[in-house]
Amino acid sequence: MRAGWLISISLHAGLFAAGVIYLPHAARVLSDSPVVPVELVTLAEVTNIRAARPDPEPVREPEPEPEPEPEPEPEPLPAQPPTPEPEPEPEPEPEVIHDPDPEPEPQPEPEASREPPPPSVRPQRPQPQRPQPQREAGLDLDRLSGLVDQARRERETQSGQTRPETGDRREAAGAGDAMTATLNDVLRSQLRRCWRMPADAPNPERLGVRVTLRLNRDGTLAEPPALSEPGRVRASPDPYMRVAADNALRAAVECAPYRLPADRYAEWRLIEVNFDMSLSRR
Amino acid sequence: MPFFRRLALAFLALSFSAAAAAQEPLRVDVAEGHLDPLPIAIPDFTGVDVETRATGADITRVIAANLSGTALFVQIDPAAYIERIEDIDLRPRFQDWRIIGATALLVGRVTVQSDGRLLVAFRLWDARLDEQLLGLQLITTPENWRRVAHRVSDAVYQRLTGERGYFDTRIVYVAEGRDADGTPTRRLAIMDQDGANPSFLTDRSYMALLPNFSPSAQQVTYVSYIEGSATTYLYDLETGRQEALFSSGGRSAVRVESGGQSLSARFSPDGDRLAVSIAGRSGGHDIHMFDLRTRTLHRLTSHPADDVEPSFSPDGRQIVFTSSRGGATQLYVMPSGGGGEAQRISFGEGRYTSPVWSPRGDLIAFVKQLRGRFMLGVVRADGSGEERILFESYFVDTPAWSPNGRVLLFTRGEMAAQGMRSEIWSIDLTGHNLRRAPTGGPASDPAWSPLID
Amino acid sequence: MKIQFLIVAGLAAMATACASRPPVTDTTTGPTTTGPTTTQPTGPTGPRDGSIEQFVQVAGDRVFYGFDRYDLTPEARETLRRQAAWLNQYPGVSIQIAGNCDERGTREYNLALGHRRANAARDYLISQGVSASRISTVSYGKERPTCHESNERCWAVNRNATTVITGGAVG
Repeated sequence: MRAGWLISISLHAGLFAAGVIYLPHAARVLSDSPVVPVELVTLAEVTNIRAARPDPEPVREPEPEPEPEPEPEPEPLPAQPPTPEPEPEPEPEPEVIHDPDPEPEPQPEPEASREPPPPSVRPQRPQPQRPQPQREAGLDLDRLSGLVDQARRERETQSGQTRPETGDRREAAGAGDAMTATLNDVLRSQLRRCWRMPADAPNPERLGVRVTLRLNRDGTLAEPPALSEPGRVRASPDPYMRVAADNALRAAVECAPYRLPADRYAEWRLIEVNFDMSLSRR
Repeated sequence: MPFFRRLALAFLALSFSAAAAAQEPLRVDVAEGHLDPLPIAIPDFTGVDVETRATGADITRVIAANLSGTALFVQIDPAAYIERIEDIDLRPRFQDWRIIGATALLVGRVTVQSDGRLLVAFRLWDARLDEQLLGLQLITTPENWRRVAHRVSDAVYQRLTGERGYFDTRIVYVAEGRDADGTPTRRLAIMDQDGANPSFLTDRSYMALLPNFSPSAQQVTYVSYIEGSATTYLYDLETGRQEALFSSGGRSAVRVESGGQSLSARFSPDGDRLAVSIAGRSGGHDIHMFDLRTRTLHRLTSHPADDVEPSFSPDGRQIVFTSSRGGATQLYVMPSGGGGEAQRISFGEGRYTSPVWSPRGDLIAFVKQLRGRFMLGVVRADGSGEERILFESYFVDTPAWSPNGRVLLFTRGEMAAQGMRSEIWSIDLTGHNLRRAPTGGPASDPAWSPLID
Repeated sequence: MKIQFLIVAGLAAMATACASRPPVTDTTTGPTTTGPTTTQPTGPTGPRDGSIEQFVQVAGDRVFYGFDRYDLTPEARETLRRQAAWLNQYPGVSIQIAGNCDERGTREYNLALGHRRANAARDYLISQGVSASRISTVSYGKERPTCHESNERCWAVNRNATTVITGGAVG
């Protein structure tokens, strides 16, 4: 599954090695212009190792792996790359230039500027007609920016309060209002704080992911959350879809334990969450 | 794959419990979440000796700076790390990473092969889902450790965001300065995306302006004053050789009108053509297409007003350019093969210039001048919808997209004692994460290379 | 094609008002310390006939333009007529006209605008009988300002076409 992408990278590297095309014509050689090397990096896939843990984790959800014994199937990371590496790339002599600190220092936001007197702007001609918006595709920048702003504000207020845990909201949503708030609302309010939504991906409405949760009576996960449609999501060639799946599963894990009314356990022991931005479109 | 095993277990459990099997799940719709940066822990890449450990630390530092710089990730303070990574082939103790807030964990190892080359292996773990997201190794010469760091950054970025990274890239720009006698100097310079490996491409004996990268990242076009007046040049980064493409003198491939200057040339996405504005006999500028294979030039626009600053759409079929045909300058789109009307796409108040088509295709970045201020904005390529202003300042010019279309570099000018001072800044598409590009001194006209592989 | 002067009467008046004012405190360009409209015919102690200094003093070496404009103001025409008269007097002299812009425009657009300004001045000189073969042009856009402050006064000074004698003058 992931191999495809990795192989693609390797192949691209190989392709690059095969030949760099440029135009032969040149009129002038500059004495002080150094040759800038463009080197090759060979990529090879690491075998996906599941090696032994040096010491067992104290708390674990049930997992099929036997504990300290190394698993037999995958070999340990070989000293040599398992795939034959594309052969030798041209290695132009590198140029060593002084090496400034690469970290860009954080810059203050632009200060409100000293305004110059506005120069005389040339008057405009009558404006032609603007085409009507025909489609609602791609990135909705206004909406996205609004979401980013909102996310920032929420983060700031959160950090301002410096609460241990996030118990306050859970309590309000869970224990107290169980009678009025629906289970749906309670869960939604918990999950939205754990879910990294794909708002900055192209066309995020297409990236809906459903996750099934099985909960214990204390609100902990009885088992790892599972994609409701693993086939559709995992087989998708769209890298954004894979990331959306990861984020949905992470949200389900991060939000546990869930604070839900114990007397209604029968209703919430099995939950299917639909993480889907398209549900909020006007 | 542990995941499927878990799934199988889940099924097993399900079939044993008749009640559960019969139960309908509670369905919950979640339409809104957060956009917080993803917390990532990056312990220093391990090494077998002092040297490889030092290289490992260097690589780690570059990766951390790359990822944090996007504002999509936040690096967890290494002082908080509990587990000490000694062998990247062992499963990490995810509990130790979860407890300090890490969602992702990047571990790596640097070794030197018998042939002297560096082998950098890394694994990206999901500390919430307890699974490996990525495992790769890269081999290179020791001097190229920075490229390895950028490659690792790109791979991690893509795995965690879904979009391609932009760290293994370079930036060509104009370094601005002054001679001893006060004459302004404009030199072409190049650096890695993070400011490392800076070097000059041209000397101070002539002005160099408005560079653009070829899709192969091997060549740069720019406007050179090497012959005294503005002439489009093609510069080969590998050989350092350059040539005049059009001039009224003898040397170049194509002759243009006497005194007809040629300006900044942008490559078509396939690298076969250049779109460039050239002045004709009347002194007016028209958009021309130059075929790099046949070395022929033909004129695309022929309006008496000036048409400048052409930029291709990512499919190569259209160009956007600036024209003063309607009075104050506005943005127009037309077929790159000619034969179509130019459609105006900018409609706001003010003068529009410097359009650049996004690599994603849906947006065009531009500069707008209004009431004495300059703004960086984006508008849909078809002109529909509202334009969006990302940044405003005393002066803004020459936007340049990151290869994945998420970030814009641009020239930002502020008033200073000896006239305007220019710097290169970046901002992302949402209008956030404003940062100064680490050029040494005053700089302008950034051009962002495609990914180098 | 011919040069198009996009003149709207009112605008031209505005531009004129603007362009006629570039003040004379610009010390960075050497000889040009007198405004183009204030020069008088050479006095008895003036520079040598046919010299660059004389050209600058008699004719004035710069003409000024309005914001985002390349049409010639009446003052600019006056200056250019004096330049042409002087050049016709010394037919061995060749010149280059450099078009310049203020910093309130983007780089490529200003290169185009500077080119227009230089061409407008050249064409006028040609119309006054100066042979085209004696004139070359160059646009520096906004890259060669002679006034270095960020204010309207300097911008007005920097919006110009400057005539430089490149050969044939009396040393």
